[in-house]
Amino acid sequence: MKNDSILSNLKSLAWRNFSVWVFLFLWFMIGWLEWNNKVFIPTLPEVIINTGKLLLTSEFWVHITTSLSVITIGFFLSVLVAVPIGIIMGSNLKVNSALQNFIELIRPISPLALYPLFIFSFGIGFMSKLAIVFWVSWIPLLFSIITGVQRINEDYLRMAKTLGASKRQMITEIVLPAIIPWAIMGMRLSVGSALLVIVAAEMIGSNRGIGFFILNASYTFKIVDLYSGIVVISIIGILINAFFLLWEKKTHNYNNKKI
Amino acid sequence: MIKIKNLSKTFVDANQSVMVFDNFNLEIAQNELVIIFGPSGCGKSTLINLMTGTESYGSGSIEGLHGIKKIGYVSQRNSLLPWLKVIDNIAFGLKLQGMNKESRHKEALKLLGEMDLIGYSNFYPNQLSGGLSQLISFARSVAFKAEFMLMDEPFSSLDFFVRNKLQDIILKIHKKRGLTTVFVTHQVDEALYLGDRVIALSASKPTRILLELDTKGVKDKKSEFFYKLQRELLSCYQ
Amino acid sequence: MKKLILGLLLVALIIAGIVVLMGRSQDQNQVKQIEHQINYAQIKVFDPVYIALDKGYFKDEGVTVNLKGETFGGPQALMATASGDVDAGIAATTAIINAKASGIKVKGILDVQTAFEDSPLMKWYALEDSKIINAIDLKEKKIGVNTLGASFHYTTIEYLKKHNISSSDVEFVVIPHGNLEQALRAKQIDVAGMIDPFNEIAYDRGGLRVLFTAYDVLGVNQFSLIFMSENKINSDPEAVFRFTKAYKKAVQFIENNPEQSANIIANVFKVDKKYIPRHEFQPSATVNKDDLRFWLEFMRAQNVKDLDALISEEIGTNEFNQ
Repeated sequence: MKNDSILSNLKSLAWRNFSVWVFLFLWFMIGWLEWNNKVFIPTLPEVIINTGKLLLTSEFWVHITTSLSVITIGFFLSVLVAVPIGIIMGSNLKVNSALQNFIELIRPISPLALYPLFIFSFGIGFMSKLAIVFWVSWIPLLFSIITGVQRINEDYLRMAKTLGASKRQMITEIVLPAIIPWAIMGMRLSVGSALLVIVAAEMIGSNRGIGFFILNASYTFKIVDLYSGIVVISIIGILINAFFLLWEKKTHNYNNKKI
Repeated sequence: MIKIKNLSKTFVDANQSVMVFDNFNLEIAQNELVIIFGPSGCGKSTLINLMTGTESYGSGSIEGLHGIKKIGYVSQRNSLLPWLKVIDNIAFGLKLQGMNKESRHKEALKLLGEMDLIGYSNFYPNQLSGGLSQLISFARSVAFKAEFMLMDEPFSSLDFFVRNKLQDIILKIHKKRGLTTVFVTHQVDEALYLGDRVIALSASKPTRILLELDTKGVKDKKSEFFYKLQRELLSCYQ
Repeated sequence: MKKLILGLLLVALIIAGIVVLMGRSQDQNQVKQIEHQINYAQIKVFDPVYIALDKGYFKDEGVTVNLKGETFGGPQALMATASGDVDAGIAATTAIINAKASGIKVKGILDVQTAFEDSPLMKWYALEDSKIINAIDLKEKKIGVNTLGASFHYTTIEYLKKHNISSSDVEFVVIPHGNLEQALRAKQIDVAGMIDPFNEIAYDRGGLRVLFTAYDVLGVNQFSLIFMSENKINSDPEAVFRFTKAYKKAVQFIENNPEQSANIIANVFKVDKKYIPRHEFQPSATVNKDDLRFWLEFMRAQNVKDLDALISEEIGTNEFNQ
């Protein structure tokens, strides 16, 4: 019985990533057949080995942790801001209509267009990058939470009231647990955007970070390094996503419709 | 003791006004399980809503409810929190009151034991069949030590066999712990079996009491006496 | 079944994409050689090519020079040759070295930027009222350079080394040429390595002080070259010869007519001609082999990867420069 489920798990893992395997296989084959443009397309083994080598150096880890720290802190800040505002806006129509249009206005402003403004305000370095990560993270999260709050089943709120819940308890016992699936969805969007933007932001005024590493690699024609940088970002993205999916699964458990 | 005195309510909409209750009177004794019986649309649910305060009445009074802060309410739409296990759902009211985890779990387990439902304590609501959800809602109110229980057709969508089982559990708890209960149903058997007293409401407006039956101790559904009561109840509506 | 079809579709797409990518590098062979023409990556620096174009020297020699692009930098120009979009451009010797090491087939053929005593070209600035005067004051400061692994960056490292300061004692910050002055004045960096016209404009505005120049650090040193793709060299050497001839004429003109040259360049940059300083060149605009060797050794000492197979002779050539 146990072996069965491990095997079937692996099988399903393989199937779900079918296109990825195909892609990797093709890449490998192209390298093996030497069809690749030697300058711009390194072979898969080259990239894997180079990435491995880089991961053994402390400098590369400095780049990784630099980018990750900005993303993490920026992300948490956005959670701290988006959750309360989202709850207020989701539960209060007046506040919602007052703020909604303003947010719609600032929403489409490209974060990279704002970046120079952030640099001007916060200087080059950690703060401006934190600002841009925060900027790109908080709005998707906010909207997810607003939707989540608006979708809360009224019965729950009524029930809690009849059981004598205080206002604070309404939030901690009903609202927060209820919006978790929505929050997770918003967080996945946020982190994805944060990852994108940090790479771009590090291309100016940095000397550290994965984005900087990639840009530098392209300027100095260390193409394999460039690929390694991209691979690392992909892996980080995959890991973060996997974490959220796992969390979602855990909470989604109760949402699963079983007869 | 709850007293509804000279209650009047008019329902007004765009084109018409309907007098739903006109000087309606009803008394409910402490620990009594009263059945409100009647066909659809006879005002049963309105009566419940008036008692919970969800709807307002024109004139008259409802006494005995003011002091009561803890009202238990169970309907077809159960409001179990999907992210909490059964045991935590039952203990929810106690948690809101500040009881610590150990104590409230103990209370919940005790109740589950009395209901023979211990096996479900770690289930999530979405894993429960319909009838069980209603029971857990009921248990939540009981655990919470509600002083007054309102149940609005909680079992009406369930099948015969499930319903019977659930009725027995309600009875068992009611017998053991006592709880002033108003139970709304349009099921004849259910009304006669569960209730200490059955109040039959008229279909026509304004709603009035057609019949009051004393059904305390009536528990044998196959008896002649039960059959007699059924006919008596149904005859009101001929 | 559905998954299989989707998978195959994806495979087909990927193959198509790769074929396209592969094809790109073969493109330049397909261009018909009606006349001798050179696609030149335009980089807005003081470039004799602009003089040659303005004075019609290329036309005189029978070669057509097409300016491509607007905002190329050295590395981008080199990348563009790999894809066949351009045949030639300007790049720092260090960038050419990196490009060659990665397999891009180019060669430096002419001098374009050399530091001389009176025209060092690369200068380092601090704010007038800052306390930075000597090398020792650079410790723990932020130094803005246009990119890492190129002339400004390496020259700074050499400057620090000469004063016994390790490069890890300073912080290099990458800022594009056009933003360096702003960053310096906003105190986001403490020192900026700038080239003309940016540094001339900035200095003219006042409030800046020159700390040192490339000449102070390296003496006379050639740090940028005109490069030509080996593809072009092999397929149309005549064009390269003619290009070189016209270029040398332009260099001569610049040396004899600095004012007029400044005018022409000022028009290209769309700035006032007073911001265009004097540029000096290697005799006959040749590639200086010693300096090639210098930069290659320097980069090796900096532990730059993949340079083992390179010989300085391969980086630049004077074979087209008679």
